[in-house]
Amino acid sequence: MSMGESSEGRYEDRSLSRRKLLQIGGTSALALSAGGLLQACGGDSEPSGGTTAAGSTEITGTPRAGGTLRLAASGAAPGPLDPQIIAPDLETAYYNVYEEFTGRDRRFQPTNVLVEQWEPNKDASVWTAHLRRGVEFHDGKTFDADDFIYSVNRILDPRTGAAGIVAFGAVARMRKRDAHTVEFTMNGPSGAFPTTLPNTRTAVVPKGFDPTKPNGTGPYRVVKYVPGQSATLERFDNYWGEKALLDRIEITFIADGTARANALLSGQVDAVHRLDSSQVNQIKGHPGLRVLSGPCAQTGPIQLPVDHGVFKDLRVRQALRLAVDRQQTIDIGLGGLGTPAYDFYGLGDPAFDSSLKRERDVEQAKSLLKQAGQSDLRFELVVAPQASGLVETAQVFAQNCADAGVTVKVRQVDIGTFYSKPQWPSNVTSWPGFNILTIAQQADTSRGPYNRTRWTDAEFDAAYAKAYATLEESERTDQVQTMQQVLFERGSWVVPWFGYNIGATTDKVAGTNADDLTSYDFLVRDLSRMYFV
Amino acid sequence: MASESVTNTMAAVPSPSSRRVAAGTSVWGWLARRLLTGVAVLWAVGTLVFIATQALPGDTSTIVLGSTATPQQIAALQQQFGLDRPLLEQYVLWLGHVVTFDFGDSLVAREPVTQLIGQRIGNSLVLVSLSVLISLPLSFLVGLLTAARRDRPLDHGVSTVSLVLASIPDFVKGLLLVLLFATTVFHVFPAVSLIPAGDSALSHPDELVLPVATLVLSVVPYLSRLFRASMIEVLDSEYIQVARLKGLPSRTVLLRHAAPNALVPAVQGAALTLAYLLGGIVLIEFLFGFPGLGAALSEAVNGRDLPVIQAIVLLFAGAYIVFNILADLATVYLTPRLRTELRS
Repeated sequence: MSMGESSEGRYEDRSLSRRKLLQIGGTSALALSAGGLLQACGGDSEPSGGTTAAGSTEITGTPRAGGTLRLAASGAAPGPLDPQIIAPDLETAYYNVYEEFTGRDRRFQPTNVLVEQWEPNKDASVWTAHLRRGVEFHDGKTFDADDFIYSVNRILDPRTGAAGIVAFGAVARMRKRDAHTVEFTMNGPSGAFPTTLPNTRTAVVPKGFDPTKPNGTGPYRVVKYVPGQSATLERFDNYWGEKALLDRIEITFIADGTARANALLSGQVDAVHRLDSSQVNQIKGHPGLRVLSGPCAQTGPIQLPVDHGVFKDLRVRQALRLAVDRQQTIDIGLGGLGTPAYDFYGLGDPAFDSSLKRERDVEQAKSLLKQAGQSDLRFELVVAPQASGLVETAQVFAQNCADAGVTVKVRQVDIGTFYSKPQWPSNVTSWPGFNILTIAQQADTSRGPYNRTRWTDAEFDAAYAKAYATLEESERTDQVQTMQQVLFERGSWVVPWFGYNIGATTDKVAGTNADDLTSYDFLVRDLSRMYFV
Repeated sequence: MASESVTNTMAAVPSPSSRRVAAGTSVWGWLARRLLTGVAVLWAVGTLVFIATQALPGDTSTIVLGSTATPQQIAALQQQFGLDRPLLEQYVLWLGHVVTFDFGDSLVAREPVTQLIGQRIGNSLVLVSLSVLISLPLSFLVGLLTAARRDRPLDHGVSTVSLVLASIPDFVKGLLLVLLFATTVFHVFPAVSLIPAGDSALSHPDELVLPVATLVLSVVPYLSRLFRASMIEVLDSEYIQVARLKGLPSRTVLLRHAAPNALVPAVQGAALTLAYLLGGIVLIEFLFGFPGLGAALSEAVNGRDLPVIQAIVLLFAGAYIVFNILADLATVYLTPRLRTELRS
């Protein structure tokens, strides 16, 4: 899914040269300013909380209600506030105005939100959702099974364009038992059904929902929304759970990351999210400001379609996996803010296997290519700036491949062009921090609707089916580890890294926690827990 | 002596249409012809934009749905947006609506285009007007001074600065201004123009300073050179020599005799500036997050939001045509010879 840094082709060149320019500009400004004034305040003095390579993770203080927080949020597609469709600038609404059926904590463990309890039958072929009582929508309406069923049906309607359609793919029938109980009959045993729901835009909307009139059950309600420009949220006092601390949030959508950082630097906003490493360097050391960052499970995989051409040959795919320099990709593409990945996904998933690793081996790569008769392999790699670091990842990958005698021509397109084709010969894309089963369900099983590489593997499919069907946690972990093993040995993606959550606030803002592997939007997820000190 | 200067000035200004005014019998006939041509140009521009947007890969449905779109979802949305209809049908429908000033609904925001860009027109207008109001007198003054002090240190100094400024791309100027006045060195002005929706840009003068300064710095180097050149031409003419020989103070010569005749290129320069600024705001508004038409245009292109792209481009083209007609009219009324010809 895209992150919102969208630009038309001409702009991309500019934003690239712009980033470089900022660095140059920063240096010359440093040279210009007399007496090393900047160096004096450039020291690393991070306040309370743990720190990582880029900054603090958790900021604590004495919680206190009140205040208006000004947030600069990324925004590219100025659409209505529809929490069930994907639009990059809707994260703020998704996490604060609306709520999911089931949420997840910072380590992928499901949490109960509007479904208080999911109750399976013996083989998990029927799931009963016991809905939370006493939940009110912002317009005063009480949440019940009709809203729930309406929400699911709306997601399942292709005209909605909902991303959650896949998560409900195994549902055969839905039946209202009473005002607070809904029964799902599945196509077969589906033990993992509720755990694949979080974070996939499976939000609850009221019956007869009109996206132009935002109305959810979350801790904040929308007071004003101007698509593509700004949103004003106010605390919802009848919220069923722990009430938010801030009175008001004023969100301004600013598509350009550098402009977002500038807004914070010049004191126009209190918080910004979705920064990249170049902006971190700009903010870091600035008095009164604080960079917040922590690892997350977002990835930028290089996808190699296996249904035609050279990538059908596993030796070629493995050669490319051996050729890529993961640390260099992180250092250059992400400014050092990344965690090496080894060609599968799911950092932080309870079943994640951190023992599967691969060292760079150019000689081995060359010999595999020779065996495959592809010693002078050349191909085009398509990339769009969907997320920070992707274009750079493609460029470093191309250089790494050159060491193994492979010529990779990087073709950069704008996001609109990238999405215009369901499948590119080979490309770099972006996947959010989902758990392993969720990504597998969407992208790697033979029936996954976003299986863009057309990769199929009988052992993987079987392991996925067992993992999805079972109710036993240990059995699921075993199967998910088999899936990782298969991906590591013969998958179709080169996954060089897991990204970082990066945001920044003034030092007056507390209650943030960047330690959130599951998303790159911790700042926005934490809005209801944030306060001023 | 006046006719000499007019010939000189006319030679400096590429404005054949002004001559046609003079030749024609009525200014109204000329105006009607110009307006008709304008409409034809608008139609051509609109058609071109329609074709160009069709040639862009991808459409709103694929962008709204993002990377996780399935073919069924794309087909459903395309049908909803009417993007599945034949191209000619889409074109005829669009043209039919445009002639009644109905630009349709934005595909992304799902609200009327007029509503979406209404306030942004005002914001951009403020940005452009302020830039013109500052750059025109400033350029004229700089042109006047450098022409009067031709080849002296002041002239050389200004020339060098202009050359440097002219060679720096606009967005770099903007970034340098941000570094200097907003984020790194001084913290005097906001780096980003956060103008709340519903507020006029005029009620947030702080937020206007840097974008306007950037636009002024992009325009003044060119315009002041233009004015300097035309001023020098006027100063070299015989009637100025006569005025000087007559013993008039140089101040009077400069301001009363030379400057009025250098005004005509100023008017044409203003039209040029306005036209340039229309393009310039696309970049500058993006840079400063300024909620104007330019930013709306780049967002619309990214979202392949055809109705919005077409409406804004038509608006720009229309404004361009109107500026040119106004400039030509002003040229006629500022040029004594043309004015008299028109009267007779």
